[in-house]
Amino acid sequence: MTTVSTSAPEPLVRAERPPRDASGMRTVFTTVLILVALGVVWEAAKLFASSVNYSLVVGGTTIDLKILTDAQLPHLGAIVGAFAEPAQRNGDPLYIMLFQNALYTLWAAIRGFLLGGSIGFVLAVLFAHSRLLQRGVLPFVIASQTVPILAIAPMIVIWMGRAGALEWSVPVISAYLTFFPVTIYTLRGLTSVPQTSLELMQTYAASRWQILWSLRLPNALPQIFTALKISATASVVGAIIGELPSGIQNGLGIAILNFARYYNQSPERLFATIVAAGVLGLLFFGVIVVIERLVVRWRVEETT
Amino acid sequence: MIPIITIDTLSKTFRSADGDEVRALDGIQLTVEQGEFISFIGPSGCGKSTLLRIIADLIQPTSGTLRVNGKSAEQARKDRDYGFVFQNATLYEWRTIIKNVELPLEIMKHSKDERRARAREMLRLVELDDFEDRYPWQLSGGMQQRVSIARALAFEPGILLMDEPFGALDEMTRERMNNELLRIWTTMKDMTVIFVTHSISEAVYLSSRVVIMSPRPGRISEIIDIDLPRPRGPETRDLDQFFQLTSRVRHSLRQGITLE
Amino acid sequence: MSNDVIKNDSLLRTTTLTAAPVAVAAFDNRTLTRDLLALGTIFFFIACYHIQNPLLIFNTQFGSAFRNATLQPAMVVALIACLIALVVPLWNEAHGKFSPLQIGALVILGGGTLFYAVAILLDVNLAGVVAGVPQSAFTERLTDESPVALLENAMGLVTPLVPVAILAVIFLWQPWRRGQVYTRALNKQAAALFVGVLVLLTWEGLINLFQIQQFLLPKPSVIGAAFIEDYPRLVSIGWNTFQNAFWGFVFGCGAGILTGIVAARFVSFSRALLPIAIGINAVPIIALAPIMNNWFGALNPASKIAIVAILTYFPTMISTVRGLTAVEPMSMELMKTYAAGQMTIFRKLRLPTALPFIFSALKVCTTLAMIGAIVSEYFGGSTAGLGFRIRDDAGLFKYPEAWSAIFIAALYGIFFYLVISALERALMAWHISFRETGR
Repeated sequence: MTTVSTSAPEPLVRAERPPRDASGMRTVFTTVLILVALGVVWEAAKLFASSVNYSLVVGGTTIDLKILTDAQLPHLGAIVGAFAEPAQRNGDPLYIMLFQNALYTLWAAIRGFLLGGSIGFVLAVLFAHSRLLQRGVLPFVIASQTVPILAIAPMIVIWMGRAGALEWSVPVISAYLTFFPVTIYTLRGLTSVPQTSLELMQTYAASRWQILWSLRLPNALPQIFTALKISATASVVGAIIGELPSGIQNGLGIAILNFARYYNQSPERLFATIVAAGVLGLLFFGVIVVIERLVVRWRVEETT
Repeated sequence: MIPIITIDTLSKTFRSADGDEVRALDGIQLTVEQGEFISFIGPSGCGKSTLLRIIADLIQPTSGTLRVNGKSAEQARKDRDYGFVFQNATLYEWRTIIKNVELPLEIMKHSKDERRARAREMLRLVELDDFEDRYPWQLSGGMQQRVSIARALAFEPGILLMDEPFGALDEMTRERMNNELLRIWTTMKDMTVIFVTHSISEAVYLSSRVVIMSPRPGRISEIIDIDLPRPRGPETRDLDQFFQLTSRVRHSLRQGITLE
Repeated sequence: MSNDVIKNDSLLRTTTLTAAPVAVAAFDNRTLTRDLLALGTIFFFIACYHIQNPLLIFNTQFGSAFRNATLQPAMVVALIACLIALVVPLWNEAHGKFSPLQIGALVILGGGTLFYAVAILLDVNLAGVVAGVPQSAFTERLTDESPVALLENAMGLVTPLVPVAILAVIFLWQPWRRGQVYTRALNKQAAALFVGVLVLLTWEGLINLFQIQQFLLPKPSVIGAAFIEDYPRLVSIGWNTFQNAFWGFVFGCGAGILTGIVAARFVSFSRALLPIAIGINAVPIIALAPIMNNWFGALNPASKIAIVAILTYFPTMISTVRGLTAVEPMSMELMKTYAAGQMTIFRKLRLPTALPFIFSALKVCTTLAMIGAIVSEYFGGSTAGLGFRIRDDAGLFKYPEAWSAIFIAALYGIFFYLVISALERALMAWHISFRETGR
């Protein structure tokens, strides 16, 4: 017969899962570890190459290691040091110059992000509600992404100039890279509503707008944020690329172009600029992640 | 009768992500004889699936002992002493039906001809031999589950562990599958079946013993012998004795819950 | 009672039995794959004919598209691939029994393909051997000293067979039987076609109406004319760019898959790589191009291949990790009940689960690779590249020419995508047929 257990639970022999905090910390720790390991490999390779005078003879073949010379692959220390050095003669240290340029690029990227995001969102809502429109226009939207942006960037600059909105040429180019992920992911999110939820709305005789607002949009939020995260970095890339043909003087893209020209004199500055560009993209991405955590509290989607 | 599975004072506690402890199983005591058809039945949270998975060595107990075929559960798993049938058919969608049935035989390194012959035989046993080149998505739920049974029997295990295999099917299909299962069980000599279910009539119809479990903490509240005559068929469900036994099981289940 | 049960079951069996084979075999009758393959076979056959016809190759618009020496073997390989991909399903459908006419068509096509394979890959043109023409005459430009009369004899042997081969393809293909497929495809694409035509007409009309200057936006008709004049040269140099894209794709995606397999074993490792991947993705190509040009030399294709490899590496690696870890828990438990070893679990469970994810990434990477190859040529490189061409033409405000080059680039991108889709279909037939029925 049944016996009622009234005693306290016995002590555990083994826990089933580790407490939640550890995994987050461990990821950060591992990231730092990987970066340090890469740095070690970088310097070790350079050390090795210089010790064999940049050419390695294995068996019968000679491997040319010239890409590991200081001229081609600067020391990590040199790159870090370049941040503190003046960018131009008697000018500010590089990090200040990069920071100022990064702000220009960021401002263009934000405008491009908002513009592209809005266009993408509107397109997705249109496509979700009209099968015809989706069938007719979506293939061209997809095809548009096969055109390399660098090819049409000069044309966009000219058109913007003609339209009297030259300061919007970089954001428009940035928006070109941004709108596509937003369109695709938002569309997916808006149309992936479970059939039974739709039917529930129909029993309430809800209008299309009500269904959109109360059902489709919340359902689409995780996907929208996935797209926004991709678009964040894409908008930075687009802004940098857009600066090239637009003839403006400021921005990370211009800085990259300048330092590429002077690569032979000081390669470290180009590497430093690249690091700055990567950090900028990462920061923008991080901001979106924080916003996502605040907005979508009921479901955390896997990143990318 | 040879005891094939002996469980002694077995307990299992889960710790959830927030640090809470859940007593899934507490002091389970059970001996299963060879050739028996035994069912575990109980409400959600009573630990019946957990117990089955512990026997299968998919989860480790927190305390207590368990012997399967005279070995530890781990050794029994490594020796492939049992076949497991899950709640979903769990067929691999990239394999044809016959290749799905061949899967355990591939892993156990049987020869190509042996595998093919054995898989065909098993599909014939579950009456799906015409479907060997189809893909899982082309079969209904009931048919997929039959393939899953064929796969579990492919390597002739002495023990069959089934975790609510017919739960997703409708009543008619379920009754048909119950008959199929009994037919297969009688064909395989001395095969022991442990069957987890939440259907009272299914448990009584199939088993020689029904183990009734109650939740929080999960324990065995009663074990009822089902001495209905074999072979059983649809006419068994009309017997008075069937009704009495299902009532007994139902009462025992109710008692187990109210005593919380 | 039990008899009723068995009878009901056989009813269930027969209805499902008839539905299933129709669904799977009908795949070829639902898509335009067969038509694409048939047209492809005809196209590549004609291309090979031009390649091995010195009288035509430099004198016709179409022929001069294939001057590029590395493009020629690719055409033969493509011909062989299309032919095999076309015939094998036909063979399966006919259960290994072809009618005498079909066998005849097959022999003609097989013979022709073999002839061109030997001629282009092994430099032995059998017709030339028969007519007494030296091999070099087939690969060199026509000069005054070329044995034109002998060449004409050799071509006299080959040329009549070309229309016969085309007829053979059409005979095997039987397009007159596929009317339903065409109407269905037309219905599906009608909206897109309509929008496309509408846009082109409005574009042309608006420019005429408002007299918009050519250098702002050229008319589609002007672009079309420039394209028709330019395309042979563009196809030739496009092939160079495509090769860079292809090799970069192979190295980048290959490395991505291999490191993905390693990374999937260490879950915290793959999660830790994510910020690094994002950071690297935020760096535009233009920053890497000068570095690569410096490292490998601007004229060295390796500088372009390296950029494409970097571009395609991360999406592939992340998708591989995703796919390898997307295994359903119950499927994994099944493997545990078989006490399967890690290698076995990898080969029989993780890898097949990961294939759809990997192919999604590969398809995205085809366009990435093409774009990467083009953009990397912007910063210096050989003049025989599409990127250089586009930059040059755009810089000189020759926009119709620039757009023609962009169009060719898009075509190469689509071609690359189709090749990977074909590979996907070959390796994952189970998935494709599953998806096509709308489940």
